[in-house]
Amino acid sequence: MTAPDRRFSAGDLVAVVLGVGSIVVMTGTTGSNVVLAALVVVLVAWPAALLAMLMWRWIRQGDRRFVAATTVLFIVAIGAVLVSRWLAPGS
Amino acid sequence: MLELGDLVAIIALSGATAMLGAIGGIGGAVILVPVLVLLGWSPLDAAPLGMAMVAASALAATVVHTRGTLANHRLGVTMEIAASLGAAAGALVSILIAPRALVVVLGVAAIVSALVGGTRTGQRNLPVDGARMTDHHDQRGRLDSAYSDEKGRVIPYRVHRVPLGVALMGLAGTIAGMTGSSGGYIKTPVMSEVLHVPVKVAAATTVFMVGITASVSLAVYALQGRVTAAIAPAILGGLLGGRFGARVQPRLPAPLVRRVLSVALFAIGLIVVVSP
Repeated sequence: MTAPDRRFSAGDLVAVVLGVGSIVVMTGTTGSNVVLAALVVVLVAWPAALLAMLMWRWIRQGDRRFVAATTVLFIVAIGAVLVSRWLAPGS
Repeated sequence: MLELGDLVAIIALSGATAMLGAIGGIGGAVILVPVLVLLGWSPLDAAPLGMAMVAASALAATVVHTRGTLANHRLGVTMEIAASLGAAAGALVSILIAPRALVVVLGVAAIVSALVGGTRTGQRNLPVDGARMTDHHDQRGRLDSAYSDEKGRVIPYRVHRVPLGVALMGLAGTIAGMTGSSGGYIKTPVMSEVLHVPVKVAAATTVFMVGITASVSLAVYALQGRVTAAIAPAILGGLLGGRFGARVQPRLPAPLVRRVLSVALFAIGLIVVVSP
């Protein structure tokens, strides 16, 4: 098996921040509501950040087909949120 | 605020389901949510915990997979377009169909997938002597790719029957949208058994896909005001289990991963059919 890459990446940093944040929320200390809101924002935003990173890689490779596919996926995902929000009880 | 016993229970349950999810390529909410309901949680409160666990687990696993060759992101993006469209359609259709009928369909689909994958022997994609990773992996405009197995050998693979796969991913997304799950338990078998993608690649790619699905669902729950501090232990368990599962999975032989997936799918099928 090839040697695993053990460099500490931005993704690792996000995971550590989420872990520490979730412990802070569990303790229920002052300001934990703000931390909880930040946790949700990070959990919702990380796939968008990853897709943007992939898109950038494919732009540099000149892979227009998958740049277009990723753009469509962004639009569809946002549309899915809006449709589900529209269907939500009480909305 | 939750009692210490509840916190420990949620962390342990989330960690175990996230680990299984990262190894077998299933989101895990379809296991965690029914178990929480059995423990006395209401389905409305348990669903955001399930999606938070899946999103955290997928993040931790994707960080590990992105360093290696297992996740096929081009395939994931292509299939997730159909799955997300299906999920939006499923959310619309769910108003019209009896929920219990959907659950039974979902359970039977999981059991059939388990039997098909579990009874198959041998490997479709085998190592090729002299093959170089740079000649096959991450090629511009191509879904076909290659991965490195537990012994470091290069295994090129082709993606078969893409139009059928896209259609089935749309169906998987529709069922996921109807039932409020991430649909990983359907996506991985479709990739493995229909597209003939190696099971470890299928699992890693599905983890990337369910991360997108779970984040969209979590955004909806947040907009509905259904996210509480109770998701914190699910996030911690998901991070720990997802990372551990993603570190272990590349070291496991593909047939073992397929058997783990089959057992998990069979259990999921029974849970969703039997649970009230």
